[in-house]
Amino acid sequence: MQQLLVKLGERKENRSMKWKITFAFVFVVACWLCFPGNAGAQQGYCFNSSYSSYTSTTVGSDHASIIQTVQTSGYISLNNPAVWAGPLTGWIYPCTGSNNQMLSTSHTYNIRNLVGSTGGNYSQGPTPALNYNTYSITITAPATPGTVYSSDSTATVVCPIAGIIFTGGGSNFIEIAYTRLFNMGGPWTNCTIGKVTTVCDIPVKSWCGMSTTPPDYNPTKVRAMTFPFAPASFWDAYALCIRPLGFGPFYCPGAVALDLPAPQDAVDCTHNWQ
Amino acid sequence: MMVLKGTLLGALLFFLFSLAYLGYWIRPRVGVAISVSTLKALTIRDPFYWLAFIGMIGIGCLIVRAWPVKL
Repeated sequence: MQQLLVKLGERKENRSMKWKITFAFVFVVACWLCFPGNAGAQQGYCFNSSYSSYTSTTVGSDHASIIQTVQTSGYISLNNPAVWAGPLTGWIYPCTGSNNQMLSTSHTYNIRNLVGSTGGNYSQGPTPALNYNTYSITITAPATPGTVYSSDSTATVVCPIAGIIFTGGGSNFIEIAYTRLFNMGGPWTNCTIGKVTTVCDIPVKSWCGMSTTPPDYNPTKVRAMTFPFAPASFWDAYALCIRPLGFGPFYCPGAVALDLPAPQDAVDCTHNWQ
Repeated sequence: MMVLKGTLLGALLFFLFSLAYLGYWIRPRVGVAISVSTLKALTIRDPFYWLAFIGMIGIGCLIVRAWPVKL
C-alpha cells in the first residue's frame, strides 16, 4: 500500500514536472517574442525617456526574399525636482522652463530599414513629446540564396530641444543560406509521441559539392514526422544567417527544410565562409 | 461589436495556443531544421487544429459575453 502511494506520488511529481516544463517553455517563447532588441529608460534630470526598438528578420515563404521589420516605441516623462537655492531665494524649480517647452514640443521618429539596396530612411512625426507612440516599418527585399547583403535597422527619436534622445538597432550582414541534407537513417532522438503522430529529430549530413563543403548552414538534425509517414530521404534547407561583424562564421538561428524525393545529387550549397 | 471583440480575443487565444502546441511538437533549437511538411501536417492538414481554432473563437465569444468590456 505504502509502495503504491509512493508510486502515485512519483507519477504526480512527474506530471507536475512536465507541466512546469511546458509552462516554462511557453513563458520563454512568449518572453522571447516580447523582448526588445534595444530598450532604454534613461533617467535624466528634467525628463526620463523610455524607448525601445525591435528588429525582426525572416525569410519569405518563396525563399527568395527577406522580410525585415523595425519598430520603435516609447515616451518621455517629465521631472521637476525642487532645489534649495539659499535662504533668500528658497526652493526653486530649475526644470519648469524646459518642462513647459517639452509640453508643447513634438518628437520625430526616424527608422533606417535597409536590406541590400531595398528600403531606406523613413520618418514619422512630429508627434506630441509626452504621448506614447509606436512607429513600425516593414520591407520585403528580394534576396538570392547565397548572396550576402548588408542590413541596417537603426531607429532614432529626435527631440528639437534635447537632440537625439534614443538610438537603437544597428547594422550587420545577412544571407539566405541554402544547404541540401540527406537522412542518415538513425537513431531518431528527442521524439514527441502523440496518439496518431510521432515527431523526432532525424540525424542528417550536408549533401553539398566539394567546393561548398562545409556549408554556411550545417545542421546536424531535421525535426520531422516519423509516424504515420516515413521521413524524407533528402531535404533542401533554407536558413536566415547573420554575421554581425561582417567576417567570421554565420549565426543561423532557425531554418526550414523542404522534403525531396530520392535519389538526389550533391549540389552547390551556400558557402561564404572558410 | 460583441462578436468582433470575441473573435479578436479568440484569435489571441488561438495564437497563444499555437505557440504552445508547436513548441511542444517542434522544440525549436539552433542546429535543427524544421521540416515544412511536418509543420503543415501538424497545422493546416490537421482537422483537430482547425477544431481548436473554432473552439478558441467560441471561448473568446463566451468570455466577452460573460464579462462585457466597454471600450
